[in-house]
Parts: sequence; C-alpha cells; structure tokens
Amino acid sequence: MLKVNHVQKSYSHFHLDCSLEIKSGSITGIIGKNGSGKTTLFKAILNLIHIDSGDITLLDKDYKEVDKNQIGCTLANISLCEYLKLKDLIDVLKNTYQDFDLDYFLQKCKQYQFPLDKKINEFSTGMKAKINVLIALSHHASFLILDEPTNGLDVLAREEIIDLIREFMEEDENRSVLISSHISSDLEGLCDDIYMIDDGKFIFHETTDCLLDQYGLLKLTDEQFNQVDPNYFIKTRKENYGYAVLTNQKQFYRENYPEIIIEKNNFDTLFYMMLRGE
Amino acid sequence: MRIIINHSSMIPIYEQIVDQIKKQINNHTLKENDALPSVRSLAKELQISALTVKKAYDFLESEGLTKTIHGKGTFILAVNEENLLEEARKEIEDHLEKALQKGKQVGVSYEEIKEMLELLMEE
Amino acid sequence: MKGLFIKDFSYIKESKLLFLFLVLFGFGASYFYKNPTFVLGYFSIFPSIILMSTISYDSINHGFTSLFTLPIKKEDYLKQKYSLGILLGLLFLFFAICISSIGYYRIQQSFHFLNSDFLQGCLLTLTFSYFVIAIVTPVGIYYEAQRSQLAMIIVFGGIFASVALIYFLTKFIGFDLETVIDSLIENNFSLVTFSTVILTFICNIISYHISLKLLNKKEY
Repeated sequence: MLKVNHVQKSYSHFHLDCSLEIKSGSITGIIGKNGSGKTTLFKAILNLIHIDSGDITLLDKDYKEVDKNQIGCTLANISLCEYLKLKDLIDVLKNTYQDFDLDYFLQKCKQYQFPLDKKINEFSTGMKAKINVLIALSHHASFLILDEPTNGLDVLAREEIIDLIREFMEEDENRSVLISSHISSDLEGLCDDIYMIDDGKFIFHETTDCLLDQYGLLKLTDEQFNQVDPNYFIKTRKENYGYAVLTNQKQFYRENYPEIIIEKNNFDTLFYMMLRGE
Repeated sequence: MRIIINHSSMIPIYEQIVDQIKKQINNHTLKENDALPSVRSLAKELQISALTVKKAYDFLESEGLTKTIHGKGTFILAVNEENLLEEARKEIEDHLEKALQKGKQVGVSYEEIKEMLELLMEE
Repeated sequence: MKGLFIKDFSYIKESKLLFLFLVLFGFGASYFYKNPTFVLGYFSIFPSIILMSTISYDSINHGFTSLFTLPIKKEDYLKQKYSLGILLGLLFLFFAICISSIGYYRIQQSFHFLNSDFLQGCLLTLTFSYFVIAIVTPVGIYYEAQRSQLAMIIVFGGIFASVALIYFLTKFIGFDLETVIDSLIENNFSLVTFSTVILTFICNIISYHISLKLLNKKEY
C-alpha cells in the first residue's frame, strides 16, 4: 500500500534517508526520539515537502497523484483551521471530503463532549489531538498516517484513541495505518511491526510478535557476562549491577542458563537499549 | 471470546491463544463449525498485533483443529476425541522425558525422581 | 471548493463587527465630504484587505500544512481566493453606490449623477480593487500570516513611492504627466477605462500564476 524507496531529504543540520514498505491490512509503528526524522518522513509522504531523491508509491500511485480523499492524517501539534468554530469546521469538512461520515463525527463529538460553538484554538491540547484523529477517521480513508496522534493526552484518552484505530481496522481489513509515537506503550498493543528511526535513518525493524515473544533483556552480573554465550547478544550496556543485554533469543538463554534473570521486553527498554547500548 | 493473555508470562502470546482455544475445544465450549472471531477482531479484543493472532490461527490449522475459508473466516473442525487424548498423552510423555533428562544432567537418580512423582500424586 | 468558501465566510463573519464599523465610517464620511467618488475610492481597498485576512487565517500556525493534507488542489485553492476577491469587489461596489447615492440625493435631491461618467468611475473602482488584489495575494501567500502585514506595508509603500517618483521625474524632465492624464480623462475616458480593465485582467492572470508557483515551491 505504501512503498518508500530510498527517500532522501537534507536540511542544514539533518539528513533523512529511509526506505519502508507497508502492505495492506497492516499497522506499522515508528518510534524515534524528537528530531529523529519521523515528521520529516511523514511530510514527505504527504507531499508537503520536496524530497531530494527517491520515490514514494502510495495506494499504487505516485505519491504526488494520490487522491487525498483516501488518506486520513494527523500531524503533530498542528490543527486544521484553528480559527474556525467546531461547527463551521464540520461544515467545511462535509463539503471538502467526498465521503465524510457526518453522523460518526457528530456522535463522537457528543461522546467526548466537545462544544460545537467554540473555536478550535480554544480547546485544550488533548481535545485538539482527539479532533485531529477524528477528522482522519471520519472519511472512510484506506490509509491512515498519524504523526504522534496521542501527544498531550492522558492515559485514558490515549487508550480511547488507540481503540478508535483498532475499530477503524476492524471495519475494513484492507486498510493500513502508519503511526508514529514516542509513547511506546501505545504502539505495543496496536502495531504489527515497528521501525525505529534515529538521526534520519531506520536502525531497526521487527514484527511486534517477535519483539514481545523472542526479544528479552538479560540482566547479568560481571561474571555471568563473561561466561554466557554471546552469540545472540544484540546490544549490551554496562549497568551498576553488571550488564544489561538485549537479545532476540531469550528462549535460548532461558533453557541453557536457567539461573540468569531474564526480563520480558517492552518497547521502552528495547528503544533504550538500541539507542544507548553497544 | 474468553481468552486472557498474560503479558508478563514467558510463554509466547500466540501459544497462550492456541492453548486456550484448545482448552475450549476440549471442554466443548467451542463446538464443531463454530466460527472464531476475525483476526482483526480478536487482535482488537486482546489488544495485540494481528500477526500474532494470525500465527495462532495458522498453528491451529496446521494441527488440524480449524479450517480457514478465504473470505468467510476460520471454523472449528470436528473434534476427534481420540486424537486429543493421544496428543495429551504425547505431551505428558515429553514432559516426563525432559524431567528424566534433567535428572541425568544434574545427577538426580531415577529412584529419587520416582519418589518425587509419588509425593506429587498424593498431593 | 464549496468547503473553502464556507471556511472564508466563517472567518469574515468573525470580524464582521470591524467591517460594519468601517462601512458606517464610510457612510459618515461621505455625508460630510459631499463627493460621491470619495466613497468609491474608500471602499475599493476593502476587498483586498478582507482577502488578505482570509489568507492570514489560512496560514497562521502551520495552517497551510494541515490545509494541504485535505483533498484540495493548489489550483483550486487559488481559484477560490480570486473568485472570492471578485465577489467582494462587487459587494463593496454595491455598498459604495448605495451610500454615495444616499449622500448625493440628500445634497442634490436628484439621481443625476448616475451618468455614464459615474458608471465608468464605478468600473474603474472595481478594476482598482482587483488590481490591488492581484498584488496583495502573492504577497500574502509568500509571507504568510506574521510577516505579511509588514510585507503589505512595504509593497504599498513601494507602489506609492514609485508612483511619486515617476511623477516627480516626469515633472523634472518637463513632461507634465498630470496634464496628459487629465486631458486623456477629459477626452478619451472610455479608452482609459477600457485599457485599465484589460491591464487589471492581465495583472490578475499573472498574479494567479505567480501565486501558484509560490504555493508549489513552498514547503510546509
């Protein structure tokens, strides 16, 4: 559904160079710290910035020719038509998108208690984020591209949004989602595969299934570190208790070294080790 | 569908799903021709990746417990009681063999293992 | 495009009090000034001011970034803006005619001013409005909200300065531009009107293409 082929974009202090592929029916997540290139990549895909080289194919068309009616998107901390009242914005959307689901949008506004008579820029950060996601979900898009959609939301609201995305996928199994976040717990329960981006490049790509089942964190003392088979060490890091080791074969270590402490991996530790480990 | 995933467990998630569906087949909660929820629906319910659910469904199909009809869904196949029992027997045999091997590795005698088994049976 | 019109009308509705005040001010001024043509001139810059403000609303706070994620072609966005400009021009011309009619009637007790000269004056006013729009739109699009006010001052100041410069230069040479223009208006008013209309039309076409190029070149 989306194919990014060696897209490159240079700014004075930063250079993006990425390739990725998303098949239909899949949810892909991108984790990266601030300034790592997530937003640049998303803007490139949406044709909001010019790329230096490479090509992007979206919904089987060149990304410049794609029909934006088929794409739902949110960009981090940017709202649509901030100076309009919510009810006016709804009118604009109704007359701009071909297949705008007015009932769905209004029903959700009622559910979240959004005042229709208020200007968008007077809403709280969390409410703005919810509205952005709702707009993306309300026009029967085939592809969602969401840049940090849960920014500024508390735990309950985040879960609500992630659930809306799950619902969206349930309705039509051929849809796809590309979502970025630096709240990794959001992505753990949603995505099928994860890319990690740092300094404009992808440094890691794995399926969630594999990450949760096969990846693990070994916590070793200095002696254990020297004794244990290092074949499946991916990243290591010196800690005050000895060493922390990221591995993708935790079963191997569990079976052969039953005495060492193995922690089940969550995305935060994975991310941390990939960036800070050797 | 009543499946509970333990995210802190070392058992892979797809295995947990497979085990619980097998249990439901065994105790007749799931009957022949019952439809399993769609991959996305179950993924949503359990809040996990759809690929994991697919892995579990594929595994069940490879064991002959379910059949997937493209466009329609995944359905439970006729339960062969004999097969299930045979499978369970095999599993128990595997576990016992592992225990014996371990004992050999660390130097625990067969006598000791037999004693342990009898104690456990009394509990 | 309907969505874009709804958006702009909503923005204009927000500032309606301000515009109402300005219209009333024009009314009051014309009452005292007694010359109907003043009102025409006064109202002719309103369309461009309003159009600029809608562009500002569109662009503020990364507005263009989110706007162009909608299924809106940049060509359509511009066409809607220039169409809005045409509508506003006609609307304010209508206001101007109404107000100056009332003012004139009170003084002269007749509608005799509705002669062909006046009508041509109206046409000239309209073209002037559109001419200003042609200049203002690319500036607003290029500079976006914050800097566009400053850019506007520079642009208008520049136009004023260059006109003044031409005036003084020609006077210096001995060529009395003022008399030439006056005689043209006296004798060939229709020609003047016609050529200004053509000129404005061409300027708007050029302006559209410049704006489109700017929109396509920019990064959001």
